[in-house]
Amino acid sequence: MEGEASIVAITGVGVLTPAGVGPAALRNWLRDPGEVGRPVPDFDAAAYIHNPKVLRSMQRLFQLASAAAVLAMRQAGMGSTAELTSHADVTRAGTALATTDISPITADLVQTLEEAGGGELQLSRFGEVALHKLHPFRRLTLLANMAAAHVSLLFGLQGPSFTMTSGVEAAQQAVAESYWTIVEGRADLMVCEAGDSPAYGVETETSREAAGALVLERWSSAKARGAAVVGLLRATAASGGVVAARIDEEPLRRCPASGGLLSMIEAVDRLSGADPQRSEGVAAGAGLQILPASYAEVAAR
Amino acid sequence: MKSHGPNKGRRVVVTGLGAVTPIGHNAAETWQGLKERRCGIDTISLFDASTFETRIAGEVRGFDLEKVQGKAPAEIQDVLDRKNTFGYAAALEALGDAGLKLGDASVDGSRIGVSMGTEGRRDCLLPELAARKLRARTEAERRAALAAIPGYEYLRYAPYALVYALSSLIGARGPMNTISTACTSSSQAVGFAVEKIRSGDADIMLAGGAESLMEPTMVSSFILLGALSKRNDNPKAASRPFDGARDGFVLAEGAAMLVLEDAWHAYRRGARIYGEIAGFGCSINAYRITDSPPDGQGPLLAMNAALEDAGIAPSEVDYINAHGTSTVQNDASETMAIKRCLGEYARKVPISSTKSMTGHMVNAAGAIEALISLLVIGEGYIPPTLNQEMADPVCDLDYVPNVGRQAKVRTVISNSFGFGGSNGSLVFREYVA
Repeated sequence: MEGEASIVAITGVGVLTPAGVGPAALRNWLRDPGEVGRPVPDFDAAAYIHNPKVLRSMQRLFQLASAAAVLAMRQAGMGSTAELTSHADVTRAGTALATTDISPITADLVQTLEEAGGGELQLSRFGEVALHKLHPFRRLTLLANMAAAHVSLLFGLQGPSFTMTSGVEAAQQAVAESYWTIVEGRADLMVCEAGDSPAYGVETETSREAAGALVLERWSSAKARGAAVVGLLRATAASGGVVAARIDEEPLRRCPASGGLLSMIEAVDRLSGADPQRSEGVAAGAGLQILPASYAEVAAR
Repeated sequence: MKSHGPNKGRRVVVTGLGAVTPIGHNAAETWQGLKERRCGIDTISLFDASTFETRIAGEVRGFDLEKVQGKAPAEIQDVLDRKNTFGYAAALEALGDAGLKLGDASVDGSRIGVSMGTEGRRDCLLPELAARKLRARTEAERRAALAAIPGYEYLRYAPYALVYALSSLIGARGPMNTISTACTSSSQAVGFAVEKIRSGDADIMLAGGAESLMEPTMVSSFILLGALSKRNDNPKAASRPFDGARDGFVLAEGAAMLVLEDAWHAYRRGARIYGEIAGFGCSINAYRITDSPPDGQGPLLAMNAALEDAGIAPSEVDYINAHGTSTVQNDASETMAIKRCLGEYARKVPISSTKSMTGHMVNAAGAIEALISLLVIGEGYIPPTLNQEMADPVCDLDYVPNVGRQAKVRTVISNSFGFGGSNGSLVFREYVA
C-alpha cells in the first residue's frame, strides 16, 4: 500500500513519567534517568478524571493511562466527548491499551486479611470477610482492559478496542494494530494508551511509574479537520535507519508495558524539528516508522 | 482485517481443535457432552466455599494435572499452573489434531505464531504471600519475603506465560500476542490470529484461551459485583441464558485451542479443514463499566464489523452461538443487538448459549465457543440452551430451548462480550475451496 492511504497522522501525545508530565520531561528522563523517584510526581488524577465515583474504582495504573489519553486527546483538540463528536464518528473511533497484569494483592485486601486473621490467610472465613470489607467493584479493578474501558467512557469511543498484555512488546503491538485498524478502514481514529504502576506487594527497587498515549487518525481525516499533526506513522519493511529509544535499555525497561509507547513519543518529539525532506524517519518497532509531521505534504508534492 | 499488500486474499481455515472443559477433557468429549446435554456445573470442590453466597462453578474434574505437567518439557513446567496446564493440554491436542508434529524440521518456526486470550493469575500467590509477607512486621521484612519468592513464580502468573510456554513448545518464532479483554479475550485472540495469517505475517497460528478462576479472591470478587447465580441448591439449573428466571452467570474453567492456517498452506499439506474463519469485528461500549447497553449498541457494532469483514449478508447467517451469560442485562442486550443486526430475519435464526452446559469460561469463552461453532458446521447439529422454563418478554428469539437440532449450517456468528464493555464477534463458514 502506497501514498497517503498508508500514512496515519499522530495528532496528540500524552506522557507522564517519574520526571514529570510532557515530552520535555520524558526527554530529560531518558537523558538522565538517575535522579528520579518511582512515582509520577504530584500526580492528581482528579485533574484528568472528574467523576470521583469513577476515580475510586480505578487502580492508579488505570488513572495514569487514562490521564495520558486525556492529555493526548486535549492536544488533538478533542478533549471532551462533544469535541470528539464534532470531529469524528464515535462508532469509528476506538481505543487500544497496553498494560501488564494487575496484581490482586491490593492494599484493601491485605488490610482485610490482617484484620480477619492477624496476618494469616483464613480461607474458611474469606468469603464472609471479603464480602463485607472489600470494594464491590474489586473485580473490575483487577481487569487488564479497564483503562481502555475508562478511556472509552471519558470520550464516548465505540469503535474497535483491544488490550495487549504481551509484556514489553505490548505497547508496540497496540500501536501497530491500531495503525492497521485505521489503514484497513475499520476506524478513523484510535487512542492508544499504556501505563505502568508497580502493584502493591510486587514492586521492586527499579520499577517506575509511567504512562503514554498517542492519538492516531486517518491522514485524510486529520487534514480535513485541520488538525495540528505532530508526527506520522507508516508501515515499513526497512530495518535500518535511525531507531527510537530502545525499550530494552534504561530507563524504559523499568516501564515494561508503556516503554514501547514512550519510545515512540520520544521519536515524535525528536522529529518535531527534523528536516521534512529526509524521509528515513525513525524505526519504531512492530514494522512501523515514525516520520516528521511535514513529510506527508512533501511526499505529496 | 489487515489484508494489505501481496497477501491480500489469503483465507484462514481451522485445521486443529483442542479443549479441556467442565464437560470433557478434550474436544470430542466436550462435543459429546453438548450432544448429551450434559451440564458441567456443580458445587465448588477446589476450595472451601461454604461461606460464599455462590458455591457453584464449572470445574474441570478428574483431570490429572500432575500427569500432564510431568510430561511437559522441563523448561516450561515451571509456568504450568492450573490454568496454563489446561491451555497446554488443549494445545497439544489441537496440534496433534492438525497433524503437526512438534520439532518437525519441515515446519518453519518463523512462520508460526501464538495468540492467546488470557490473564495473569497472581491470586495463586496469596497463600505464599500471606505466609511470608503479611506477617512481616517491617518494610524490610516484607521486601525480604518477596525477594524469597522464586522469579519463575512471577512468570507463571504473568498473562503472557502461556504464550511463552506454547511458543517454546512448538518452536514458534512468528507473531506472539497476549490479549486480556475479560470475557472477550480469546475471541479477540482468534481474530488477531486471523489477521496475522491474512497479512502474510504467519502461515500457522495457534490461537485460543485458558482460564481458571477457582480461587477464593476471584470468586468473591465476582460475588461482590452481584454477577453470579446464587442457585446453589440446584447447580445444573443455575446457568439458564435468556430464561426469565436467570439470576447471573456461573464461573467455569478450562481451555480451548484452534490451529489456524492459511488455506493454501493447509491444502498443500493435505490437512483436514473444519471450516473457515471469515470475519472478525470488535468494539467497546462506552456505556457503563458494569452494565450492558440496553440498546445493544456495542455488541451490534462488533457483529456488523464481523459480517462486513466476512462479506456476508445478515440473511446468510444460519446459527448464532451467543455470548448468553445468563445475566439479566447481558442476555437482553445481546437479544437487542441480534435484532438490530439481523432485522426481521433474527426471528428465523437459531441462537443458543452453550454456557448453559459449560458455564462461563471467561477468558477462554470465546475460544471454546469458536471451537463449538466450527463443530456445528461440520457435524450439522445445533446444541440447545438448557433450562429454558420461563419466558422472558425481552428475550423472545429462538434460543433452541432444551433440545438440540440437526441442521445444515454453513455460516455462524459467535459473540463474546466482556466487562469493561469489550466486544468481539467472529464469523465462521463452511470452507469451500
